[in-house]
Amino acid sequence: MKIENTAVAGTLESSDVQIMISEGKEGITIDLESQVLEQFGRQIKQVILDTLTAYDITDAQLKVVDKGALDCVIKARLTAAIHRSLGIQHKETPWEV
Amino acid sequence: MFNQANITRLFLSNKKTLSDWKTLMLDSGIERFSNEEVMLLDSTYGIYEEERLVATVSISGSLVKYIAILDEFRQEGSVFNRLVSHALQELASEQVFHVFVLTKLKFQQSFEYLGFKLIAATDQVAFLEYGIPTIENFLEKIPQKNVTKKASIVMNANPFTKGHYHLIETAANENDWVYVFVVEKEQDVFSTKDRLEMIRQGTKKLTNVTVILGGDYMISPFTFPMYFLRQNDEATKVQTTLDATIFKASIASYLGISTRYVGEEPLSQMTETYNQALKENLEPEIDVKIIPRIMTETGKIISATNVRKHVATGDLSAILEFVPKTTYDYLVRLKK
Repeated sequence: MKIENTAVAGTLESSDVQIMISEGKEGITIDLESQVLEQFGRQIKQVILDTLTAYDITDAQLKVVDKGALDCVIKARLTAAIHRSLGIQHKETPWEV
Repeated sequence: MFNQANITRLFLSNKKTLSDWKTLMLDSGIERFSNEEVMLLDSTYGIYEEERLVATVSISGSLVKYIAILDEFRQEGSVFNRLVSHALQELASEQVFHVFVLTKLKFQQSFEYLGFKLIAATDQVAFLEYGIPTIENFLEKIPQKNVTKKASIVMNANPFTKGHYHLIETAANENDWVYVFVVEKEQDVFSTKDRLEMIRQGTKKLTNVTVILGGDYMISPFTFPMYFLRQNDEATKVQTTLDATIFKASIASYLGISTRYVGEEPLSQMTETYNQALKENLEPEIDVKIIPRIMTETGKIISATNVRKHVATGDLSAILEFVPKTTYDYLVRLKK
């Protein structure tokens, strides 16, 4: 899928993550900010990349401000951002991915 | 202590609300805010604790402003995070994904902690951005030139006169390449698109000139608030210093610009202050060349203000001595 519109999901509060997704030209760029970058930076990026792959998104620019979110939260927020960007509404939601 | 539901929209047109809000501002040390600025706010949000307003944030365009939190409710920044987070969500729902904040230095870290990126800081204020596109995205779009001597001019060109042409031509003769940045703020009389087009058409003959929009980073409305400053002239100085710092730290260093050209402005105190600020902050790394104003053949001062006056009266033939033929033709077409 092609990301054309910018969208955001999540908050900047503790245990949450705010993810902004926008059009990207070549590949995926992730600008990740996190207090736990050293320990979990790679894992957070992996969750993001896996989720993007599930949607077949190959080009996008992402800004991720992590406040200690669990993997499932990161996945949920990114899914929400992707859906907002693509304008996916209730029925079309591919919950299986 | 608070949750998202505690944040309510404040309507400052309500007298009681406005007085609560002003009390909070003063209590948190923000003393200067003009009524005009308050009127320009798009929306304001606040947190009440037992009838008392204890925290607030406002949005004006894509700027997050007037964050105030009473000392006893600061609790390690969680209220601050909630306020900023709320403002960002409101902006996102309005499709605004590129947000700016201008703040005192002591709050720079608090914003950085929330993912804001510093663009530039002076000894008094810090200017930060959040979201996409970033300043890197802006810079990447500018064509890089692999030459030695590069110069830059930032101009409004409202509209493009012979004086502007003279400035660009001088820079083009003295350098290998010239970047002309057009002030990207919609103002009276000529739109940004028109101003850009007039400069492009007027400088077509000059083969070493790139004309591009200045984005949000050069003489931008975001770097011009005065609310936390004591006096107008002090505010002007802070603004101009910040603008010069952004230019030096982000734009000139990225593009390898070694000279900045400005027009001499004997009539405007503001421009004079600006030119001085550029000299003080850019030199010695970047040369600031102030080019004397040129006159018409009959000795009249060429100024865009004069041209606008003639345009307002509909007397286009009177502007021919002040503007290049290209501008004249453009304005004739625009009038139709």
